[in-house]
Order: sequence, then structure tokens, then C-alpha cells
Amino acid sequence: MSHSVSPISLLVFLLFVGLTLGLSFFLGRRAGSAQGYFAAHGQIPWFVNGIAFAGDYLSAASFLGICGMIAFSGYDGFLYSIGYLAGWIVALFVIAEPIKRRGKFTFADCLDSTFQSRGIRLAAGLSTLVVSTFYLIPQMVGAGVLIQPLLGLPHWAGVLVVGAVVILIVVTAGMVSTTWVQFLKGALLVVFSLVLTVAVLSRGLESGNRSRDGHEFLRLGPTPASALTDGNFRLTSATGETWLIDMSLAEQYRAKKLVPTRSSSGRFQVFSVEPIANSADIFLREAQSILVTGNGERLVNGLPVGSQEGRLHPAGGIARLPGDQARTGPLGPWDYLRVFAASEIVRWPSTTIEHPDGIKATIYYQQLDPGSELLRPGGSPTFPGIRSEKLADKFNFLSLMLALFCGTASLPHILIRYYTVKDEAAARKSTIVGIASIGSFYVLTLFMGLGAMTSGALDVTDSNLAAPLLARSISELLFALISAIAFTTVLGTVSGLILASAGAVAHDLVGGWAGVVLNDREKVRIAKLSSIAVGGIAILLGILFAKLNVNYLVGWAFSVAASANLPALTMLLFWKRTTRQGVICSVLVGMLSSLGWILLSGDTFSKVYGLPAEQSPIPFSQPGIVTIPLAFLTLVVVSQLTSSPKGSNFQEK
Amino acid sequence: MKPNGPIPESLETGVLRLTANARLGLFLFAIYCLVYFGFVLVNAFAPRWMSDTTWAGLNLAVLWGMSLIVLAFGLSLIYGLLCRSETDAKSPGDSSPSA
Repeated sequence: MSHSVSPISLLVFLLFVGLTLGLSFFLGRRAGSAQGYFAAHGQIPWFVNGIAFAGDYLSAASFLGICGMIAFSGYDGFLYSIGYLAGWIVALFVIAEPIKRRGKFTFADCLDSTFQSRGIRLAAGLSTLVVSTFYLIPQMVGAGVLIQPLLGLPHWAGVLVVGAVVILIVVTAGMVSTTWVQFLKGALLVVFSLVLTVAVLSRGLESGNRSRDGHEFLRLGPTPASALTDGNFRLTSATGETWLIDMSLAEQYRAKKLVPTRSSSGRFQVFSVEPIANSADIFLREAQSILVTGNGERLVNGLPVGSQEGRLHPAGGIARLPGDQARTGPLGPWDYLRVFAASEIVRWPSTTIEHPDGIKATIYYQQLDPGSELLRPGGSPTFPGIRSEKLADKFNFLSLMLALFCGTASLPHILIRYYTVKDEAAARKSTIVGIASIGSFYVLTLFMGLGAMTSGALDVTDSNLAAPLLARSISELLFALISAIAFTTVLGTVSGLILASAGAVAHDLVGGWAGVVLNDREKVRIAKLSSIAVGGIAILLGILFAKLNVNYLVGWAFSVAASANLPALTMLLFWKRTTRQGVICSVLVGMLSSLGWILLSGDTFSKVYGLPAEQSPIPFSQPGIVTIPLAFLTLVVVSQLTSSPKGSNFQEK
Repeated sequence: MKPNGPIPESLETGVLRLTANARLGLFLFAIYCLVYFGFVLVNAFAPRWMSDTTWAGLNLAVLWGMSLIVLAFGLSLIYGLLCRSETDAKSPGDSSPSA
């Protein structure tokens, strides 16, 4: 979908990003030593650190991905919100204080505090790199997505810009400025999500099926259903336009309840069939189409790309409000959900059809659902398991919810934030502030998502854009602000991730495992070099994975983190017979098994390799429910096998 | 009694002794786990119940989901208020939490 660029949004955006960068350079001057570069001298006030947690954690996935998922399929996106927040309970009650007590720069410090083992450093450093890289992909994809409507640049350019800017931030600055960038964007994200939610609620709900660009989607009929097999039957709109059914394609389309037609001028137009209860008649609802011919030509809604009408209309609306009212006016939050549940909602799912002449058609069609149906779990393609009778599907869902729960407290870029405050009390307090701000944001995601779903402003091709486009449907300025905030959101999270990776390389791998004795200055230099390398890899992956919902990718990062890091971390804290070998094996087994599972899963087969999902040897796609217990088990078994008489567990080398 | 030890678990002997704060944390953690995994299991095995049970026009999925977020904040506040400050925590033996 193409987007027009407005000078206001461009200006606001540049101003915003410029300020963020300026601030980060200004503050970064102070971070010369390793202690300053990695941990901001441990001098960040707890409140600031708490909001920075929100800035670090509420990534592009939360803002773009969850809102998009709710906007396209309803309640299911909210399950992610719930799971992401629940993870903080583990962080606060189990991990926060011990990890602060036992570490200095990285979470490997904590794992290794008891044993001083090079093997642990290696395993923990590697797992940090793997998890952070996985987490980086969706952030970069999100960045590319944002840049498109804002600057009119292609996706890869967006990824490149973010990558370059972030590398610049991390290389020049380090933890002090990263923290302040995250603090700023965390605060802004929560505040402006609130603004957006208030705008959604005060706009209320409005029936009618009009696109934000002014286009009124057609609804023809009632027509006898038998007419659909009649090549001479003329579909007629209220304005006198007529269409003939394209009988050469009708058979293929009928299977998907779609009707291909040609207008009097020969323009290709698809309709979807809306049955009428207790009647042989039907309505036909206008669908949108993209045709790609064998030699790469594209027809959008039957016309060449770029012409006046040859583009997709933003969409999403309400077919009928309760009591057939036209609009509700301002609504309170609970009333909003109640009215939504009682309305009939128009969604725009898509399907692909290959014509006999080799043309590939993607059809976006209107689907009517009762609002109550969209407010119950299991509606989206991501969570088919909830309503499925197959046990494997249910396990897939349980597995994801477990990974989200266990994943937060094992994300290296979140854990390093505990080293920026001065003591355990500050670690605890900042987690509570984090939970408060992150929780408020997640409550708002439901309203923003449903608001976007009914805004008439959705880009039917891209769920990741729902939140910014919702803002555009309210005002251009708000759109610019929200996009700029979302962009700094990416900057903040990506800086944190790259910093965590750089710390792992310099502190854990080079300094710890390889045993190279580094002075402060050298350590920081190595960290900066690895930042550049990690940033480069992130840019590449961000371009490669452009099509996946960013939130979905983050789910994978959580699975790997939860499997690799959490078992070792918690057992070390709560089980006295944990041995060095147990920790190493647990981290490696957790990491490799979850990684392998993901790479072999049906989802990866279909979405990444382009193979049929049935060919996958793995019964369900989410690894957590198998690999997390597996890592625990590994730790226990290996520790039992290697434990030596009392006390000697803690001697090495 | 370790008046100057910043590490309450005595690592030297390999015995991990929980502080009062950690015990409180684990207790609250258990409460949250019950509510969270209850929610997840009902979603997985009785999804109809989630949508068909309604209260004041809102279904259980929305109510329970929102409650989980609010509960997380509530429990973390309780923890923050009941946790003893670190100076107290360094003198084990006294198990009564003070605000």
C-alpha cells in the first residue's frame, strides 16, 4: 500500500529523532569507563530506571505488533499483552534482587558469581547473543514498517536508517544515554497511548462502511444466490454501475465465497458473498484485489498501480451498531467494550488465488463478525489452538503463554538494566515502577487495537501499521507524534539489545571465556566494535524477515530466552546442589533445543522457508512447554552426576 | 548473624537460605501463578466459558485479562510496601516484615 508523505509529520518526526539523538550524545560524553559504558556507573535513580524498563521493554512488537494483531483479529493480541506483563512478576518476585546482588555488568556475572567458570561465561555469553539477535529482528522489521508511511521510503531503507542511527548511539554513548533515551520514550509512549485511547473513546463508534479516504464500500443486493452461476446476470449498484461475473474464474473463487466480476469498462472487481439468514438471497460486498502478472506487472483493484483509483483503500469498520444507531458519541472504556461486543464488525482478511493464466491474485475481502466473537480468545490465525480439538494445538498455545511468562526475566537486555541502579532496594522499586507503567500501557492496547479495527484507516496489507494509522485517522499531528515515538521506541530497544550483546562479547566472551586481560578502555573499545557487527547483522535480518508480524517474532525470542536462561538462573538461586556443569549444560541444552525446535517448526516452514507446514517434523510450533522443562531437567540430572562432596561444588580451576 | 555481609545466602557452605523478602516474594508469586495459569488453562480447555460467561456486558476473557494486569500491579505494590529495607534484611532471624 502506498502512503502520502505530509510535511508536518516529516518535520515533527525529524525534530523528535533529532532531540533524542542530541540528548543521547550530550549525556554520553560522561561514559568513558567500562563501569559507565555498561552500567551507567550504577547511578541511575530508581524511578528513571523504572520508566526506562518500560522504554526498553515496550518494543515495536508491543506497540505495533499487539495493536496490529488486535486490530486484525481481536482479543488474541491482548493475550500477548497479558503474557508480556505476567513475565514481570517473575522478574520482581524471583530475579530482581538476587541478580542485582550478584552481578556487575551482565547476567552472566550472576550465573557465574558462584563458580567463576569460563564455561559458564561462554554459554551465557552465547545465549545472550542468540536471544538478542532474535529480539533484534522484529525491532528492525518494525522500523522499516514505520518509515514507509512517514518518509515514503521503502522498507529496507527504514531498516538501514534505524540500524545506522542505533549503532551511532551505542558507539558514542553507552548505557547512560541509552537509559535516558529509554526513559524518554517509555514515558512518551505511555502518555501518548493514553492520548490516543482518550481520542478513540471520545470519538466513540460509528456505523457505516466508509474508508478514511472517502471511498464508500459497495454492498449490492439482495440478489438471488442462483444468479452467481449466470454469466449474463448484471450486478447493478445504486448509482447504475454494472458488473458481469467472470465465468472463467468463477469456479475457483466460489470455493472461497468470492465472486470475480468485470465492470462495463472491463475492470476486474471482486465481491464477497454475505448470506442473508433464512433466505435464498445474498448480499455482495466489495472486496479489494492485487493482481500480479507473470512479468511482474501489478494491478490494484483492477487498475495499474499509481493511477488515481489504482490503490487500496484503507478499511475496517462497523456494519451495524446495537439498535441500528448511526454513531454512539463519546463512550467510557467499559461502555466502549460493551457496545463493541454488541455490534457487527467488518474485518478485512486476505486470501490468495492463482488464476489459470498464471496471475497471482491477493484478495482482501470483507468479513462480518459479531463483536462478541472478536472479544473472545482463539479468533486469530496465531491461536487456532484455543478453539481446536487437537491436543497439539492446545499445547502450542500453552507453550507460548509459558514462554511469555518465563521469558521476560531472562531477557539479557532487561537484566542488564538491574546493574544501572545502586542497590537491591532500587532494583525492586524500579521494577514496581516498570510494572505500573508497562501494565497501564498494556491495558490501553486493547482500546487502541479495537479503535484501529473500526477506524476505517487500516492498511489491509500490513497489520504492523495499525496503531500509527489509527492516529492518522484522528489527526495528522498525532500520527507524526505517534510515529516518531514508535521510531524512538525502536531506537531505545535496539540500543539496549545491542548494548547487551556488546557487553556479552567484551565482558563474557573476550574477557571471561577467552581470558584476555582487558583494561577498561580496551573493554569499551571491543564492545563498540561488536556493536557495529551486531548492528550490521540486525540490519540484514531485518530486511530478510520483512513480512512477518513483528509480535510473532518476539514470541520466539521469549521462547529461546526462557529456555536458555531462566532454568539456570532460578536453580542457581534456589537449589544449593546446582553445579557448574549443570548450569553450562542447562543453558546450552535450553538454547539449542528451543532454537532447533523453532527452525524446524511448521510456522517457520510455511512463513520463512515457503514450504508446506505439514512437512515439519515438529508437532506444534512453540517450543517453551518442552524446552523449558528440558533445561530444568538437564540442570538437575547433570548437577546430580557431577556433584561432589559438600562445598567442593564451588571450587574450580 | 552477618552484620557486614551483603550476601544473605551463605555461599561458602553452599546453603541457600531465603531472606524474609524472598519468602514474601515467593508467596505473592505463587498467588499470581495460580491466577495466571488458571486463565491460560481455561482459555485452552474451556474457551467457550471465557466468552459465554458475561458480567455487566463484558465477557470473562476481558474481565479476567484486565484483572491479571491490575493484579500484577497490586501484588507488586504490596511487595514494595511490605519488603524490609536492606539494612533490616541484613540481620536475619527476625521474620516479621516491617513496612
